[in-house]
Amino acid sequence: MQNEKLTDMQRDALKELGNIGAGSAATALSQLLGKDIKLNVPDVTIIPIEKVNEKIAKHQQIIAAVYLRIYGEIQARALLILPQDKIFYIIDLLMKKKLGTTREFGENEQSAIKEIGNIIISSYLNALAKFIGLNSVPSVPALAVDMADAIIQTISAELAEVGPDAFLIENEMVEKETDLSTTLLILPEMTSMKKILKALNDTIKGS
Amino acid sequence: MAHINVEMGQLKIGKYNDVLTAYGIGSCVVVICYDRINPVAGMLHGILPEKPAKKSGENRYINSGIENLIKTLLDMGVSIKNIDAKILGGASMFDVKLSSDTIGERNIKMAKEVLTKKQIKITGEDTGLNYGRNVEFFVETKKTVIKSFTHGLKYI
Repeated sequence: MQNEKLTDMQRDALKELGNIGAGSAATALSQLLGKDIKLNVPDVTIIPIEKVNEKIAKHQQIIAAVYLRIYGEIQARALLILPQDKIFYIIDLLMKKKLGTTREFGENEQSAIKEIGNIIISSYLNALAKFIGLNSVPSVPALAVDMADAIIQTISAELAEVGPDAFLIENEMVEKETDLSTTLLILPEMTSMKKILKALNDTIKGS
Repeated sequence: MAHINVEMGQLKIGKYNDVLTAYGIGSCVVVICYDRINPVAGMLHGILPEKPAKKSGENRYINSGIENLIKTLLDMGVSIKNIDAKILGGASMFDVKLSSDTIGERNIKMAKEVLTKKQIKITGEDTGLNYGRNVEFFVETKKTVIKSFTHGLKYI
């Protein structure tokens, strides 16, 4: 496959789609944590696989990443990135415990973090299904806590098996009070991107 | 002395007191081929096991990348019988496997297959498991330092 390019109109449409998905995801996160979550404008890009790490720019930071494959009418990968130093805080909020209670990252805590990933991605996909009529379901969530670039490299490698470029929808969700920044990455396969663009086009025309 | 950073899909050569480095290795495999006697070495940072036909970017792939690495060293006058290798990386980063065999596992297998076929001895290895690695190879001393978040420091 040759390098793909997006027109400005396609990029705007995908940003809007990202907004709708992430808006729903942010609401879910906000309800889970009982905190006000702000959403930044999503970033939509197509870049060579080798450049993905540079783009995410978290490099050697230690992150907790929940990874899900997405199957159905949209084939994609989703990665929810949480800063490792805020994990205990997130778990306390989630489990409605007094802040500072959680001190270890055991099986229950890992399940809790995975479940956050599951809920957020599911609400993202539901919003997409409602908006453009493409239905998809997430796999079971997988978790890694390690250097950001090692985790993102691993997903980039999976994408490299399909094509030379990565299609990236990057959403940032921020909780102001504690400066908690969560990144949600959606990486649709190129064939799915074409399907999404067509569905978007049909939706816009039909409205 | 130079720190030579080898990014994903790259192949680089170092000499004398150079340090060849690769950071944030997850499922990628880093293959170091070095001259046992003289201070010259090359590092490959491969992403996938096997180069599909008609694809460019040979150093992305372990099989074609190792071929290139060895050819580059031979072209520089290194004798094939003096080449030894170390392999690193190939982790399965996530706690649940979402596919039957991970890219990390396949990368390690391919690296070993190609090196064995070329009759190149693997003198050191830190592969597999579930954590990311940073690698530094000191060309002159032929020592490798592996740094990781979960497993601290390792020397091979």
